Amino acid sequence: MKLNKYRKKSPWILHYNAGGCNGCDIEILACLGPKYDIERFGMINSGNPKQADIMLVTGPVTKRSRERLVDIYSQMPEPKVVVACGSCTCTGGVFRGMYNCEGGVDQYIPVDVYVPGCGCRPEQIIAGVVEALAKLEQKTKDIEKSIRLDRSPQINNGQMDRREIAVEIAPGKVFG
Amino acid sequence: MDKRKMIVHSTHAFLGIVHFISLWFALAILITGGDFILVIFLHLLSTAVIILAGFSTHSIFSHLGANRTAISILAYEPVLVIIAISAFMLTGSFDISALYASEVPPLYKMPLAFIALLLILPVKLKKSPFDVGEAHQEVVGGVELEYSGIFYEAIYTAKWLDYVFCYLLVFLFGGSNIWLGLILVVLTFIYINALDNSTARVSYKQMLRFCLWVALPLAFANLLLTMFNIL
Amino acid sequence: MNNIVVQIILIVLAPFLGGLIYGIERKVKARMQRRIGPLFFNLSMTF
Repeated sequence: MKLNKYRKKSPWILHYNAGGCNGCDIEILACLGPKYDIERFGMINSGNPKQADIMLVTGPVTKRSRERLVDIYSQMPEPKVVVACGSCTCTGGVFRGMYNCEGGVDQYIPVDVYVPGCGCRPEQIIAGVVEALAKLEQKTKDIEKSIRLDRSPQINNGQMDRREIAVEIAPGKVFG
Repeated sequence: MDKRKMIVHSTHAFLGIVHFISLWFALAILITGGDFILVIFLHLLSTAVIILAGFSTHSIFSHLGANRTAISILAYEPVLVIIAISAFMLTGSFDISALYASEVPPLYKMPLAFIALLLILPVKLKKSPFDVGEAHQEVVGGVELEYSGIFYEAIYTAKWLDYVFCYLLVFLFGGSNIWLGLILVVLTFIYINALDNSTARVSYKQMLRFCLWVALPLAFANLLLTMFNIL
Repeated sequence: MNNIVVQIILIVLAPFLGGLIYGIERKVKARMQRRIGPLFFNLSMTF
């Protein structure tokens, strides 16, 4: 079966509503229901950022909720994937340019998968989360890799200065 | 590679592992047929350690979960102790091996204690009518809220050990008849899952009132029945 | 339960037994709610 590839780990989902209209939240809850059973992949909707792997964000990020959004994102341990559900979350949607929000969630936290649709369908959410699982596996592999530097850090006045090298490290310079 | 470990402070993580080890120790004594009171005490110790861990952080939800776990201890612990005293009245010793070896199954001698145990098992296993300790969406996660990574694994495995502990308590009522014990375990499993799916969560006051006014008098009545050898 | 070997095996395997009970319970719970529920994993896939 094709789905067997993604059943390696059971990721736990954290769901955060950043000031949306609850349309996408209802669709996410429908994913947990009998028809689109997301627990087939071993996923559990846990309301706890410290134990979650995948973060589902809905809603345009209003100015009131963005501090909590960044707070929750920074509380998740390292291999983590963010899925933006809905048009508002991806681009701002109909709320783009309004006084209380800026367009999209990717202005505050890095987003890995964008799921479009105003009231994104449960099938789309499942497809997005399955896409996120592949990224999660890639990220867990990337943690094990070491970064090899081109030149050694210089020592000035007995202190090691890594700042200039840290500027040079680009994503392409990561070796296995 | 697993999740990165995020620990709040080292005592918090250490108490989680102590919880796991002491629970496993209690289970080992229960399996080898040691003292019933010691088993109950060690189980209480493991829960007390996790409550201490919950109170050692600054998170308010962790405090809330620790409070609720303490209340659920208050609900189920007296009933367990009275069941142990009933077993003492039945066999003449606190050793569990006497229960394992008894020819007449203890279910026939103390049926009310079994019913009382069935009433408090949802509290111990954190199942739906009495799952105030966890209340999975309501308070975020109970006492295990601040754990992550490999330290959460200890808590999670301790939860599995709790299942074995509870079903072994049910298995004790079969006595030397293993098949009766297994049938009891399967029936209890189905009962607990059906109860979990068909009932709504009650508040902690209602839980406490139910456990102390229904389950505890049942266990007491069973104690009297066993004491005067009526059954 | 009076055999010492059976006791030691039970004590060592208790976490796995508990995990098995938990997995069966998740499956039974899902079937009671008319869901499919988590599948039983192929052990070779976890390594």
